[in-house]
Amino acid sequence: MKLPEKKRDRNLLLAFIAVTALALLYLGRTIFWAPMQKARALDQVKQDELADKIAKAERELRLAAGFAGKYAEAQARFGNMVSNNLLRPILGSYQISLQERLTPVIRATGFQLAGITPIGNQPFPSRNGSDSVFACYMAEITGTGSFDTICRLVEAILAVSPCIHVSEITIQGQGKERPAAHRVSIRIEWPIQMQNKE
Amino acid sequence: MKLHVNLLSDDERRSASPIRIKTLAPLAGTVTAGLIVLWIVMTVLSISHRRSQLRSDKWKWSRMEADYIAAVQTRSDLHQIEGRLAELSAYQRMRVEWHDVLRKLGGHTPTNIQLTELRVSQSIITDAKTPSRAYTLRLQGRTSGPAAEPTVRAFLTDLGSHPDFTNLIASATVPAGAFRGDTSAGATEEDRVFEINCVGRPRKIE
Repeated sequence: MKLPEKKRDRNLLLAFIAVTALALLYLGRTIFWAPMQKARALDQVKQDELADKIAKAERELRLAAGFAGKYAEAQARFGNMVSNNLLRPILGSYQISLQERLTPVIRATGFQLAGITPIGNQPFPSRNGSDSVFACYMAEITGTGSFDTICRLVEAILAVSPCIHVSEITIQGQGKERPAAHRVSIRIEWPIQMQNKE
Repeated sequence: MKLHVNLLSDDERRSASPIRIKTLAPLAGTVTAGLIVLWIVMTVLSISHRRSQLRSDKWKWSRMEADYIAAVQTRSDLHQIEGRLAELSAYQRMRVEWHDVLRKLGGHTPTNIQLTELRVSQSIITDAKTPSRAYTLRLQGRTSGPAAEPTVRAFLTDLGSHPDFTNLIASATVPAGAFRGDTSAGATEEDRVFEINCVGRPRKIE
């Protein structure tokens, strides 16, 4: 191809070529380059996210065996704790369970037991507050006994479970006529596991 | 005198430069077109490779997702159960062995003091960040004789500062008017009744 001989025509042709080239570059950028870059960026984001998820999952799975062992151990400890140290209901009754577990222990101390009166549940004192799966079953033990017997009684009750707390004690003398026999009222609390929160 | 004879017509003139536009333009065009094609091919290959990598990662993820969810669930369950065990342990640590306290109290009670009533009550303080349990101990008793006041005072000091009680009792006081003459039937002029209030140390639940 020959360039036009006249300088003006040649300049016009070169200008036309330059404008056409620029237009083609612009069209190429708009139609091809920009969407392709967008797709690449999107793919990159997806791939990075997926790579992060996979790395995280691989870390988690490497530790999973250890966690599974710890979980089984913790579950066994918790199961033992619940069945041995918490108050478990008998056919839904905590009162019967409490009486069955405490009455023989109390009688063995020589304490004259007048009764075990259930008071009801109280929120479990913990950081979790009302979110706790535990609650405290409260009961009052009343009767008479000497000071030594009362000490033995409290010791025997607390020996039933490390979770039992004595929250209130009232010991009243009965005057000079019966100095060795005191009226006693002991309030205990024993954690229970709330069934609806298990 | 020099004579310069031009025998070429204008269209027969050639540039003296070895790089001529007529040869350079097609070459530059071809090279540019080639580079563009190469770039397009490489870009397409790169996208294709990335897509293939993405498919491979998706497949890998689909294989491990269920195990991962199960592992996360196990970790969460472990955390929950350890939290429950910690709750129970904290609760156990708060316990007061009242039989020990009562026995120590019996041992520290002077022989000329007869305790007539003992009341232990507790309150749960939940307004703080860490809830705590606090006990109050109220003792009522009687004594007699000229040494009544120093005896009660010594007993009060013992309750407030003896190592047997300092872990449990923060302060012990006789409320105003609580040390007084015994007005019950059969009491003598020297008989005294008194009351001691002990404020327990809050035991944090942690």
